[in-house]
Amino acid sequence: MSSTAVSTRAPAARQGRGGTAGAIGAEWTKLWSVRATWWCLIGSAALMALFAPGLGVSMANSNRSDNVDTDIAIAHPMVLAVNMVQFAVIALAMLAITTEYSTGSIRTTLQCVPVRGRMLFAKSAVAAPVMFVVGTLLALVGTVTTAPLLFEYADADLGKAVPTIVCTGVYIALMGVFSIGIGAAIRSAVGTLTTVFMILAGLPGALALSSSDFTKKILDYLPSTAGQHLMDGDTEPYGRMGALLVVLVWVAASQIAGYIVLRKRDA
Amino acid sequence: MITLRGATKRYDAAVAVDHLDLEIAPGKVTGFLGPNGAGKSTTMRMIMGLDRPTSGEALINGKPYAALSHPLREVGALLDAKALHPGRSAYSHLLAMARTNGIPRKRVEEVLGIVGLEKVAKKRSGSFSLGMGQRLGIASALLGDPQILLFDEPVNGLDPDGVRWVRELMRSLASEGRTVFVSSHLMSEMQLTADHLVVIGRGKLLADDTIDRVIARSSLTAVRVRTPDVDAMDTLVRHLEERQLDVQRHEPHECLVSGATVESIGDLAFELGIRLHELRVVEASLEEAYMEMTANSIEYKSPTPASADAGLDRIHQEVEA
Repeated sequence: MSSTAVSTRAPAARQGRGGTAGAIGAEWTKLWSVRATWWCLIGSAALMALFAPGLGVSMANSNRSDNVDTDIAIAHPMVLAVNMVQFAVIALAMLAITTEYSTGSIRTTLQCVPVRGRMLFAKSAVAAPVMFVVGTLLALVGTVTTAPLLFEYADADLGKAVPTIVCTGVYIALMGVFSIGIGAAIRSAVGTLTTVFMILAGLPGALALSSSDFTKKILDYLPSTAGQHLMDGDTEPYGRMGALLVVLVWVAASQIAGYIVLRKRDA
Repeated sequence: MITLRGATKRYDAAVAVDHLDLEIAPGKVTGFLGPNGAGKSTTMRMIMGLDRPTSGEALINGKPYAALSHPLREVGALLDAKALHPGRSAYSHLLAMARTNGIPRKRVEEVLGIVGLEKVAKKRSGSFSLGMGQRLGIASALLGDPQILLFDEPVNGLDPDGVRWVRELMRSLASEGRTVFVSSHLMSEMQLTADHLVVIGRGKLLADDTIDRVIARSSLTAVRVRTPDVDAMDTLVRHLEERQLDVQRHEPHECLVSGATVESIGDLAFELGIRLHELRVVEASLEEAYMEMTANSIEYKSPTPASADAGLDRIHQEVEA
């Protein structure tokens, strides 16, 4: 340690590498080199394995006690469970940006990738596929664990279940990108979590209590409601493409807000 | 080459950095000094593209930091050793940095070796001591083998061995022709490490010169004159004061003259026929020169007895003693 300083020359690195691809590679390394990532994954899997079958059982039970024999799509209880489980998964994406501010590592990150938009893009570009895979796997786990518990009410049409599972992956991925935008705009972990929670759960919960048609309309255009329509493949008030569009508008808005703050405020 | 052109950073009403014009040249260690709150860190953050100047510009090789395509290969910086995720290992931290700039994985192991952290590379960096954290910060600065290096208080928390290691590292980086810009509070350390000094106070440039010239310019650098003849001293002092020189006489046989050379005083004494027993330059230390320069720009003055002015008086007395 106390030996004379030797500042050996770095091997001539190929110019051109780095850039956006490098920034994405770095975000990938960062994501998998902290424990929080694993806690979020374990937590979300546990929540899904608990909520989806639980909701399935209670839906089947109420069918039984009310003497109705409407079938339940095997993936539908899982879609309802996503309302809770999503926060554990989204935390993963949120932490990718908020811990940078809480630990001060954002200064290192911006020294490496000084172009603000590239940094934001790299984080989103890593979160989206990772969360798509995680979301799809969670949906699969939720559906598989729920299906046998629906008994005679199970509607095991794979033509319905598979698109629902894939759309769950898409929704979770988009909510990850959404939270990264909010995180970049708000910076603090608590502030970001509160904001995301209010938009995805608090606001829809409050609006659902109202009986006015106008608030019902607003409710339809909130990201989590649109997400439910997207996953369930509803036709009313809009189809899957419409639902996807609504979610995408929210994602775009949060990313733009995050980008503006990154450009304007000092690190 | 680091260039600042009228760089200014204003926070609401307060001016942190005020029209700073600077060029930090390669091939030498440039020390960056100033009292707390003088704007040193803000200046470094502007150079590194973390803070946007309110007006003016901060350039690296003629470009703003954000315009560098592979910034780590041009500039390495240790601004804050704690700018990392405490749960991430030193190795992963450096690897992520390397990937952003297309730096090979091998270089990560290399810099860990240079700073002597290879044994703890896979440990959570949050468990590191202050000194180890500082070494990791230095490793990240060296990662891209840059020609320009910035260090903000690099010896903070290092043991004497580590302090010497950093000093030698700075010297060797500069001798390889790199630009080394280092801030510190430790004057004695700067006197050993730096070739050139930049001093700021309240965001304004106070000095941008070699250490020798900064010391020579200090009014505390004076010529001490001693003669056995008190009457002759009276005559000499009168003549010196007629020439508008600052003369301090605390002893009948002795005086301190600032602003004059040994030669001119020797000639004058010869003309007046005065016998001298001593005629020599008493150099201010870098610390004294610095204290004098920044006396008016100290943001957070300590209460007496250690206030800046009292400290200066003390220095005068020490010089005279």
